[in-house]
Amino acid sequence: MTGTVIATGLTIEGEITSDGEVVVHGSVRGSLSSNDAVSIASGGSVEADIQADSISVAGQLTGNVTATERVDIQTGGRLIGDVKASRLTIADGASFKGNVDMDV
Amino acid sequence: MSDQSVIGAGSLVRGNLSGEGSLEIAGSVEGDISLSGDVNIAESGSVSGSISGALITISGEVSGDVTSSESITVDANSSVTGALSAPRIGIAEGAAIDGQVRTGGGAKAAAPRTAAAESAAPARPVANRPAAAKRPAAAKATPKKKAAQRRPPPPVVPAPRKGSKARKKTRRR
Repeated sequence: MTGTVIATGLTIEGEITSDGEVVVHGSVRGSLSSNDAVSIASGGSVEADIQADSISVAGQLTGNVTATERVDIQTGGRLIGDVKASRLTIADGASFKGNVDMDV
Repeated sequence: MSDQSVIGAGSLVRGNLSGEGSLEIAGSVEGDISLSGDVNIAESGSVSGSISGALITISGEVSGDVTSSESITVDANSSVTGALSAPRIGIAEGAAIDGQVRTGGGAKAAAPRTAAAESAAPARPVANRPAAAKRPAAAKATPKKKAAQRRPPPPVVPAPRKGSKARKKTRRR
């Protein structure tokens, strides 16, 4: 099964639900949920709440994030919003503003 | 890789997609798609909403108007409910289409088409009477036939005929 790729230059306004992996190079406004991994590539911009297995942020993300596995904010990534996940990494050089709930 | 977007099988987008680059849809989209690049709807793909793009290939299901600046290809076993409009349209045997199909002008034809219909209207009073201009096309059809009977082939007749065809088409829409 092919994953979903939102390429540079494409904008989606609305709701995305997917069984597979979602990669965002372009922009998404609305909501995004996946039963697999979601990654926001460098240059990608998302204004949406995200629900997924794992979430990786190398671009810009504004919205609350819930992951069943993990959230990784990578170098150059920027996340504004609350994170709910059992595992979270914030790389050196990443920006983050929000609350963390690790389900302790 | 990053200028080709893909809506994978098992993905659903409810909302509008717009921008540059090309797009392949193997999942479903409920909303309008407006792209400068190519749009390919795979066999497993479905779209309910309007689509506009450059080269549009439909192998799945579309319910909505499809407008292309270059060409539309409708493959066998696909189905389209809605109008197709493009400079070039190809329809394979086995494709199910329910809607108007228009080739020649693509997206740009929409405006000139109405302009052409309007410019055809003043041509008619010259052939008949100026008062007839505001009457519906059906009412005009009779005087035109009479005129044709009186003078069978003169060059005056073909012009109003063309006009009447263009006019009826636009009214039907």
